[in-house]
Amino acid sequence: MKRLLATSILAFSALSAQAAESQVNIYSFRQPFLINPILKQFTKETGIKTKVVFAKKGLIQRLKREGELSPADLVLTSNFSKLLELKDSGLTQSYRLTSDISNSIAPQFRDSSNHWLALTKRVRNVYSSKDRAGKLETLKYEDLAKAEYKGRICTRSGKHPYNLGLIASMIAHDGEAQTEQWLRGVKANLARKPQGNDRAQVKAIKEGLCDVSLGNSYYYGKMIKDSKQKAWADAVYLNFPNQKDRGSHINVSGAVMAKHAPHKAEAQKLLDFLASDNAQALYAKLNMEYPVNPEVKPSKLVQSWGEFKADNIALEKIAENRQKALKLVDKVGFDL
Amino acid sequence: MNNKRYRFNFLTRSPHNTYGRAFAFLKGLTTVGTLLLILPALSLIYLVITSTFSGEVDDSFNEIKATVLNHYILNSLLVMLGSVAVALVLAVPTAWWCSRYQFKGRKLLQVLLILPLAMPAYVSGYIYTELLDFAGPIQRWLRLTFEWQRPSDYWFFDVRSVSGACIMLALALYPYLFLLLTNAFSKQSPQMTAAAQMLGASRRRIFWTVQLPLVRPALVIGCSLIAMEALADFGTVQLFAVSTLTTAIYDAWLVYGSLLTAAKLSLMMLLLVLGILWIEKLSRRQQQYFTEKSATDVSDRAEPTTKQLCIIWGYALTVLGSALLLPVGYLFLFVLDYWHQNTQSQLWQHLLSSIGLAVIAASVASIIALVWNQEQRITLSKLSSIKLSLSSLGYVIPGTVLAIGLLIPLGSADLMLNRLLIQFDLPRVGLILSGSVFALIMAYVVRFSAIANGSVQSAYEQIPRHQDDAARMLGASRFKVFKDINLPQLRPAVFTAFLLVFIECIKELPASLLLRPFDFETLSTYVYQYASDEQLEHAALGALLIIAVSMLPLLLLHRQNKGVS
Repeated sequence: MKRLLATSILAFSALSAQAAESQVNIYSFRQPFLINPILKQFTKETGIKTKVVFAKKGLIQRLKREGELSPADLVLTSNFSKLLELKDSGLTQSYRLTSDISNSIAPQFRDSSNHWLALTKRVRNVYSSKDRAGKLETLKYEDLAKAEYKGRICTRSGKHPYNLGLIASMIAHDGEAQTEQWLRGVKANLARKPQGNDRAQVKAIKEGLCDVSLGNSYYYGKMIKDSKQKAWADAVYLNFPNQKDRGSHINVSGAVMAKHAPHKAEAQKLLDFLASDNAQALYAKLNMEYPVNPEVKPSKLVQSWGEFKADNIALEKIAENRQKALKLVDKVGFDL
Repeated sequence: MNNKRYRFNFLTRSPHNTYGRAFAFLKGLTTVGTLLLILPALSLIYLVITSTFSGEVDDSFNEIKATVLNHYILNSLLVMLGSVAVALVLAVPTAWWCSRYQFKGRKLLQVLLILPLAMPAYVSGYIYTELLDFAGPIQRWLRLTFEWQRPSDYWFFDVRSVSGACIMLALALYPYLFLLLTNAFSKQSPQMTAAAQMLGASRRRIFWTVQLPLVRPALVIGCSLIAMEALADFGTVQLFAVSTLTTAIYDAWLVYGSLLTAAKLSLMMLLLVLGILWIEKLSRRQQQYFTEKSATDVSDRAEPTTKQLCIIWGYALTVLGSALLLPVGYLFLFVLDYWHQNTQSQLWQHLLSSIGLAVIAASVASIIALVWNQEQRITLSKLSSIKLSLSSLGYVIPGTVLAIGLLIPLGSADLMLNRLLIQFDLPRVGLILSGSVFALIMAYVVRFSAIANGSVQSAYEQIPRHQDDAARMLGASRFKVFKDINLPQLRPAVFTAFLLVFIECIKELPASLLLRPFDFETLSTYVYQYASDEQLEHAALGALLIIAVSMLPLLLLHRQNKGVS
């Protein structure tokens, strides 16, 4: 019995361990629905197989533990904090800056030493109720702490990477003390304790629980395309904050090459592919994000939301303040 | 008490009757096994100790301690006690009625009331949030009917709260208590009740002072199981935005990026759990007084009056409806609404993976429960009882922490193994332990051994020791006593242990999320990924499969219990 067990486990793990054939192993923070079609296209074009572990949390920690034996070649993340965390933890290596990458991705969207690469941009928007708040053309993130929004704001957890990114960018622009004041103000204005995801906040606006909410732009598109959620999207305007000064806060999704990647050549090919027009167009189409490749236009729907000014502060500047942002969230008890 | 122990010592531990080699092997095996089972906890303790001595500054722990830790601890305690309280309210009356009254459909009800065990709490939590949220149909309907506009216009139960989490967890966990209590109530000796009746006690008084105290062991085991489950829960409290120690551990590790802080918080939680286990032990001490006298089954079930019957069915169906029927109905609606999204994935593959892993893990856990308990029964030693308690420790380690606690030592073992292979010019085998299903199965066994142990242990305690003594006196070897006397009586309990662990493995989430190998999904990880993105609608069929796969064993469990009684 035991021997049977042992052999079956061995056989099983042999399957899961790195095989000799041409393949790329991926740890993905991004969801299967988005990544799988892109990888399928990659396999079709190159014949290189892909294997993926999808998880929202813990992949970096897993990578650390696995050390030199890690089977991972690439890590795909949904925000830049993770990109920099990976690099800072020494879990990455530099990729080759091929013409495929340098031609399609501007320097501000890649690491100066080629350790990480941004693949898509997403805006942290403010959704507002059509009936009760109207279009907020001149809104600044800073305004959300003002008394006029008392009891009118909904948001997801302050510790979610998207909110942490925003708070970190506020620290970078306004300083820590002012951001703490701001965060206390926003907390005092919340209609309910932070919960749910970005879409749930829009649903709450539709139902009249609150009037404005924080949310990424692509959720607007996703709701419009979902027959049941379209009504939520129809109840709100999508606003781009800080258009009169620094521009709206931008986060990026991206990729790094793992330090001990066993299939480096194949991983490089996949990076080149992800930067290509083809893959960028898929990102734009499937998840309604803004491609980093300027040659590739956002989807028609996204274009219809209009041009906007993006906050061009260096991503590293924001990432530096990530830990401070996290501590502020706990300090003001934002999620409690 | 002393007298009794002396008697056992005389028979089982006399100096002329030294243990054989096989028994020494058994003891060695359980010692090594116990060490393996507490490996995750040990590796965390090791981490905390070494880093403390190396003088590593742990900013994030101080940060959390200064700001939110007290809040987290309070919430953890509230969720734990609240879940137990609600579970008691759900389980005690239903178990009492099902075991002490004779009415049509009683047996059916008894099965039905166990079935909610198949429901993952985060799935029903998700559905109740949909339903009872401000934006949900019920509040919407209320607002339309009464022309309320804003949330400040009326009061409504906030499902995303500590009390909401308690109710959700209790709805998913109460069957543990129900199972144990029905069993205990039906095995209760009728003489005690009769004696109390003769002394003129009212039925109410008999219930509170005789019948309920008599099932205290079952009550305590059930409550501590539920307390531990509730304490370790992550999915539900996370969904409900209730910050507890488990969420603090996740935060510390995954947001603050400090494994050390996570380890410290985990150790705090372990202390809490050791407290629970200690209370459970204390209350078991006096158990021998009555278990030996209560071997007979009652056949004197009372006929309920019509009014009582209405209460029984009304209450039971409400429990059942909220715990199972309503969420399952909702899932069916989801499947119909989103048929296309629900049917296009590799669901069958995930189903087979889940079942395969669960069968292996449940077998291992059952064997462990048998061997460890047998050792304890034979030796009656402090050491073996400690081993038994320690082997249940994994139950309280939250899945994610358990996964990390496993990855640290397994990763090192892999590293050593690979370096060794390279030394001998052999090819590398990669992460053969930490990167394969081995890690997953080990996590399941560590996590759920407590359930198997509990089930088998209480069955052992039901077997009067004088049976063993008699057989020994007649010359039977210890193994023969085990094989021919104990095992046949234990079989139902072992079967129960197997099935309960199986169900838990099917539902297990956090450890599976972190430990699964490449291209490998269990049903739970598949469903949760959608639920966490608030799109459970698209994976509702998967959720139904989890429920169906867990329900089958529950039905088997019931058939077996019927066979016994």
